[in-house]
Amino acid sequence: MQGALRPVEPSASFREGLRGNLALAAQHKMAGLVVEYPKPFREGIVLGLSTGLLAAAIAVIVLLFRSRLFGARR
Amino acid sequence: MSEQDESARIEAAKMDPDAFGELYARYVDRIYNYIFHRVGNIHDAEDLTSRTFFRALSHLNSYQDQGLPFSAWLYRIAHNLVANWHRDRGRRHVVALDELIIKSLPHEHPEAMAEFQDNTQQLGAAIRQLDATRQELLVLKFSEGLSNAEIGSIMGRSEGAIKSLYHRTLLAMRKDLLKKGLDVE
Repeated sequence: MQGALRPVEPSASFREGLRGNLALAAQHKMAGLVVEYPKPFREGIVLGLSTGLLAAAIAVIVLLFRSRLFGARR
Repeated sequence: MSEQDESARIEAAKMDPDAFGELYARYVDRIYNYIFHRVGNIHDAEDLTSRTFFRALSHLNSYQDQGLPFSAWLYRIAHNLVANWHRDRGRRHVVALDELIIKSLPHEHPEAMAEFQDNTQQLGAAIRQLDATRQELLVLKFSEGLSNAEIGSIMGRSEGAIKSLYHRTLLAMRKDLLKKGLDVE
């Protein structure tokens, strides 16, 4: 059974990389900051784009509203 | 590290980042090994191992010694993350145990080595036929070398239930392997 479930080890680069990330997170925790697992890069891009699109949509609505308001006054 | 040393380390880790690093170094290989056997690939094993230790660090202040090793708490976190991973992917709990079969044995006679590898592969195939709960039990018992009490705490069952599950699992596997003509002890 142990032959079929032979133990595996993580790579040294992964082990050391995670150690560094955890050390940084632990320091943030000591400083009173929230410890979070780093979000993947792709999620950051999606969030950024979504926020940008929302801001642009709000700006367009505001501009349209203002142009109609000034048009009505004339 | 004795139990008292470990308790002291845990309390120190709540206040000192370097102390948590020592706990990490002590358990990262075991947690990674457990997760790898449950998910079957390096990428997800690394991601879930990272999440396990980040969660442990985040919740360390709420950890209380309940008479079981600190590792049991880490395994429990890993178990929950792996269960969520399986649920989110909606896939069967199949582990790519093919990658774990011994590739070669030094100083072995070729025929004996071939027979050993064949038997191991058949055993691996039999393990893959099991449901997720039984696979997890075998991983924790044979790959991690945990006691029934520790396994029970990780899987949320009593020690007696684990013993019973283990015996039923072995009987089911023995029956399956005998059908395939494999010598079973």
